[in-house]
Amino acid sequence: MTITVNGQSMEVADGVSVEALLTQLGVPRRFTAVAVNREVMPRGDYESAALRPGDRVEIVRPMGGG
Amino acid sequence: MYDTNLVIGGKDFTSRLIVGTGKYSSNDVMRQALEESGAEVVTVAVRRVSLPGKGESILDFIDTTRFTLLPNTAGCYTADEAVRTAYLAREAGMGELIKLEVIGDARTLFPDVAGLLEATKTLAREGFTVMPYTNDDPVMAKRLEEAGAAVVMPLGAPIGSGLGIRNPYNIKIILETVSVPVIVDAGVGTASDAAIAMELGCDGVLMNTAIASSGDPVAMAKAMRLAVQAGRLAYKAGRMSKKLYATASSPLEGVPDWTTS
Repeated sequence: MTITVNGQSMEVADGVSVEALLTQLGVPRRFTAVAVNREVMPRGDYESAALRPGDRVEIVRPMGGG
Repeated sequence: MYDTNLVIGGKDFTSRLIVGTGKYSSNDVMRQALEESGAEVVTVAVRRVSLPGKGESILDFIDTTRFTLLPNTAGCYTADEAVRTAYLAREAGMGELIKLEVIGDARTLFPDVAGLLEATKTLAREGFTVMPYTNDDPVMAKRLEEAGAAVVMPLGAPIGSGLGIRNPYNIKIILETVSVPVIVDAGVGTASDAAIAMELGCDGVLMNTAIASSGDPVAMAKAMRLAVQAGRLAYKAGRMSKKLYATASSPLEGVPDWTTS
């Protein structure tokens, strides 16, 4: 299925969990957060949250800023 | 130096200088500048990770056991975006502090105060320690305090402009108007600007570009630490009153007589 991650269109396995997606993309967990379709996802839901086709995923972390 | 601490959301800080982490030529220069600044609170932006998620993180250069992170909502143009960004920062484990920015105009980066007030209400209700970046309007500062802001952070001049404290009289009125701490955020260009903010009685100063875009950020960070301390000390000491004419510092009596004959 196709989802959008940080603005990039991406092919992933059907029903992939957020946890599996983060692992697949090699995203460090410390100080990162995820939103799916504009809703911030609690960390505790990563394992159980199955993504659906067309989902828009944002994965963020702290960057230099003022 | 005898002084009270800066208290933000129940947390005590001895440093009254808050510094940003953007625009440095390298992470190593940033790390040294943070050290020299003596700051205990550092601002960070919340941005998309690069994919695949490899590479250096800014947090490899910030000891989060020593520095308190202050995530910002820079780049948000609506209350909704700013609130969602704050939730992201909290979920990422960056704590309850939020430097709230709702920008109204890309050219000046002046705040959209209507959106700012709305977002402040929402986030204060949700338990955040809200630190809104606002304009130098005393009425707005009061509204933000009433909405639950933990501090108010009026600009001295536009973000990244280095124009200094453009309206010290408004900053002074803000200080008389609100009872929460007042931190000048944005506009400082050099050490004297920071000292002026503190001499007015501000509780702190927040800056990024003045240090990061200076000729020597590590030296400027030290200059800013000293300026904030000097300004604070001068404020606490209480300046002399201004007079139009001279008043001799040396005794008028006992001057030798050099007249001839």
